[in-house]
Amino acid sequence: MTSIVDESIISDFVAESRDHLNAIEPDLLTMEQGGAELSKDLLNRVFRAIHSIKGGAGFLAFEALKGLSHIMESVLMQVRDGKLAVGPELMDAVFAGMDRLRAMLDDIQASDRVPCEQEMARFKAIMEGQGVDQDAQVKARSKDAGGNQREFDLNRESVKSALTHGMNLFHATAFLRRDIKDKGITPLAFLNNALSVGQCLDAYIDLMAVADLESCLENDLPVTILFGSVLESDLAAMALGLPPEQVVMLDMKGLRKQLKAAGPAKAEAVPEAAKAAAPVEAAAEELPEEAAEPAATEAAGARTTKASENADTLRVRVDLLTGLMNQAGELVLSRNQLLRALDGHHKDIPGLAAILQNISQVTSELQEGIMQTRMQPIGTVFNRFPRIIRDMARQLGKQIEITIQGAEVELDKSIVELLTDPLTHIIRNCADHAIEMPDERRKVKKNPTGQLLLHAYHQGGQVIIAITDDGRGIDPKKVLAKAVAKGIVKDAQAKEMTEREIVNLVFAPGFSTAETVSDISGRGVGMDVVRSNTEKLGGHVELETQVGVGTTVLLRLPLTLAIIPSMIVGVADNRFAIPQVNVVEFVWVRAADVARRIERVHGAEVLRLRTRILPLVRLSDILAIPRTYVEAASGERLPDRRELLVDRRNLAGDPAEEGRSASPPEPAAEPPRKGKKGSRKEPPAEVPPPRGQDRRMDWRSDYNIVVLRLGSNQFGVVVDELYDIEEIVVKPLSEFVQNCKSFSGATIMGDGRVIMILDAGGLVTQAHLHFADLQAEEKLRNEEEKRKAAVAASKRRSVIVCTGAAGEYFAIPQDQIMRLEKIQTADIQLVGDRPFVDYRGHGLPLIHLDQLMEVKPVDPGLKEVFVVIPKVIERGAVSLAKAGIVISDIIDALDVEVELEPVKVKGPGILGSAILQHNLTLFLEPLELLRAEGLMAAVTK
Amino acid sequence: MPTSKPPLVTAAKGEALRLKPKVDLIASTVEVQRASMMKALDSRQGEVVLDLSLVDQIDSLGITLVLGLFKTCQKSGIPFSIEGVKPDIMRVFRLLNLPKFFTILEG
Repeated sequence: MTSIVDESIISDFVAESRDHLNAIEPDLLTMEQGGAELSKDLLNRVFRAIHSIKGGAGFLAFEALKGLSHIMESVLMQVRDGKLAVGPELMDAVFAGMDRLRAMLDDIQASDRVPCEQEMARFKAIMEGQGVDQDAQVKARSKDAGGNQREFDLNRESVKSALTHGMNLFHATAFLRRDIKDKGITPLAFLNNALSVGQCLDAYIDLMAVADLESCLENDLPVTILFGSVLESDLAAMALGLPPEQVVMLDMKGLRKQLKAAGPAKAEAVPEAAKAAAPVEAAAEELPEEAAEPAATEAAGARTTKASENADTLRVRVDLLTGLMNQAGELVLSRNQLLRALDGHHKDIPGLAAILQNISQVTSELQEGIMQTRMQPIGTVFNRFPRIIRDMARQLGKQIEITIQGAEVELDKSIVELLTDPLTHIIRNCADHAIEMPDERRKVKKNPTGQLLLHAYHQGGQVIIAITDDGRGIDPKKVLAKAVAKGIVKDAQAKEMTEREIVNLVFAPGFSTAETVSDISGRGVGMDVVRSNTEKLGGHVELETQVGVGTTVLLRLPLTLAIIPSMIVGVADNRFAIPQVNVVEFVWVRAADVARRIERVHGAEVLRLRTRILPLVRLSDILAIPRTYVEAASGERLPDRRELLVDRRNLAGDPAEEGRSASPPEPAAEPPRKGKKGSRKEPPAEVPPPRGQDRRMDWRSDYNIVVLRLGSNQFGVVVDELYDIEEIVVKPLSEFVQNCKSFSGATIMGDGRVIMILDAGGLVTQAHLHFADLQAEEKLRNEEEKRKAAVAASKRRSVIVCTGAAGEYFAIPQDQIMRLEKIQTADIQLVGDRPFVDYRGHGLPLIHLDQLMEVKPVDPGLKEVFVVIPKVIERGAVSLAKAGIVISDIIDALDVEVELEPVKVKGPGILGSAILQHNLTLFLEPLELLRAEGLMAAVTK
Repeated sequence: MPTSKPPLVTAAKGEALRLKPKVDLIASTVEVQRASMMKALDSRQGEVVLDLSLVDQIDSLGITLVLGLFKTCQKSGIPFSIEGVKPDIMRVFRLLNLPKFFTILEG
């Protein structure tokens, strides 16, 4: 019926009006700042927007909306015509009026009940200040259809407005029966048509003409319409569908006289220019709507731009898009199931693989495309902030400038909507608490105008929103004091907290450092709601601050909620999904490396990962799944009673090890070692070792660790198995498990199973992870590493350069030499096949280098040779000479800085080679030579 | 006179006479409605409330009827008001400035 048609017209009107209001808000802000210099274009834009709203409201008979927009239009008209100056009071009234219009648009059917007397009164006062009286009336005269002289009271401003726009004023009479009903139209349709023909000044039924119930139906009631139109009366009559004699022009002269008399410079002389615009029939219908513009061309221009805008975009109902999203989700699930079901059958059906590939691709693209439709630029939220800041700055007496970057960054519509409140709160907080008063800022040599930067950008599959101010920063001392006073932290805890943890207390519920709770913010319910709202969205909020410099609030958000790529992991027989955005990497710690890579710091297990130390948690522990392991031979899953990830007990068949029969271990590559630390060298383990071998060495004791990221922190989660990466459809948690912190949702796998999606933040909370301690530890270790590396990197060596055979040079580190001795070749004796020489009453074994490495022997004809006696330190003291290395000559003692090259010469104890004094010199390590000769016990480094 | 459907539900609560047409007020029905209204008014002298919550459509004759009813009340000095008006009809009443004369409440 007509009501359905009207519904869509109304909703279009509401949407367009909202657009108008949003579009002109920045202009109004400019107007306010612009002061005297105002661009005509800007004023016209603003005026046209309000005029459109007024027109539509009148058309659809939303009286309050029409009334308020009408008075705003009048005021803006005065401004546009240069008759009213822009000032703070005017702008305040305009903004208040805009807010009221928005309130009316929010519930259009109830708009007439929205009170707006205050706003109207303000405008009236402003105009009265200019000598404008909204309610003043003028009398209009005309002769009615019956030739009778009639008098009407018309609103003066309305008349003036109509005259300004070059309109003629008419009095039209329409009889309910013969002009409306008999023509097959409804009264509503007739009136709507009339409104489109001209600016309706008044419309009514003359009750004098109404008969009582007995005979009312016998009379044809006349409806009178007073309106203004640029059309001449015959054309107006035609447009209205009325006989010409029923459309009569009012006495314009008399009207103008009255208007002149009313006020001095207010006399609107007939706008000759407008009168000259002879309307063409075709344009007749459309012009009145745009008739506000004296220049018809401008109106035409406005219309065409609107038309072209419409061509590029389409209004679509949000519920339609949501429906499409859901369907896409179902399609993704079905595709996953299809792929899984047909997994082993690719060979059975020729061409199947290609078809599946195609379906998979199209599904992914479809899902992506639909997600795009729901993407909205974050500017829609950002753009309301300049106005908020303006209002707050005025209210607080501060000067604040806001800059927005990245307004074009897009997010899923639902995320954008949910962001509005948290962002608004943060912005208000900034204005209220962070930015200082101008005087205060001057005192600390800051620009009196505070700066607020809103920056949105993409990073690593997330959207980051940074809100940065150059205000006073957050003082950890004050925060801690307040937190202790409010009982949020205990004194004892307070001493242990790092600065970062203290600052993050502002997110605690019930926290507020405001001295007085202003009505803007400071009720202590804000920041914790910000955090929980952000986390609900799958995001994370952080604070960085510096006292006296400023603060940055960082929001990290996922791009979309609905379909995300995830890693599937397993614990015992359970499967879980971890969203890929949270995953940094996977670490496979082999059983043999466990002791080296996993340690305990402050009582918690941590993983050494390159330069970082990451806290470790076992997923089975967090989720209270009994720990299990897979029995090597039987493949059975058995309970794991080991407490720690790293078991540093004796590795050699300790009968005390629980649950299994102890049997002697396989002969290891190296002799069994006792000691606290486990084996550092990996036994060959390509083949799963047989039953009885130490389970710790078993490949099934390897650890799969997923490294997750939460904000700027990372931590490792130990799982039993890593499965696939899959695109999953996120389904919300049912209300029964909504409060489980570890889960952020659920999904259906390809095999129909329902599995839970893990929430990184929740895991951290459940595991009570503290990152601050580890950061300190990490720092210490990194510094230590750096120091060692520096020392090792130092290539400065003090060496003794010597020769063996002719032309062969060697360098031996000085700090490893105990003595250099010259001996007579004749004194060398052989015992067995080892040469000895008498050295201070002992027999000193000698080492010939050519026996150990591919070098030439020292010339046996030499009468004298030298012996290098290496320094050996045993049990903390320098021991007696163990051996001597035979060389032919000592050339020099040098301090050299060289980089050693690897050599092709085979043999132990060679560090490398370098060119020293133009000679290729082999650098030796004497202790290794001794060991190679069996003259020293091998040691572990 | 009345068809199978009773033309008006006349619920007289206290002093107010409630006239509640069950059909649209259009050319084909106005005559019957008019007669029923007249009958109902005969017996009462108190306030009259026209309840249009069951009326979806009102045409020129319907408007005439409503105004006739008002006129009758006005002549007898009886307070008259309309209630339960649907949005479309409300719009017409407003455009014709009827709220100036008597209270009209939307449904």
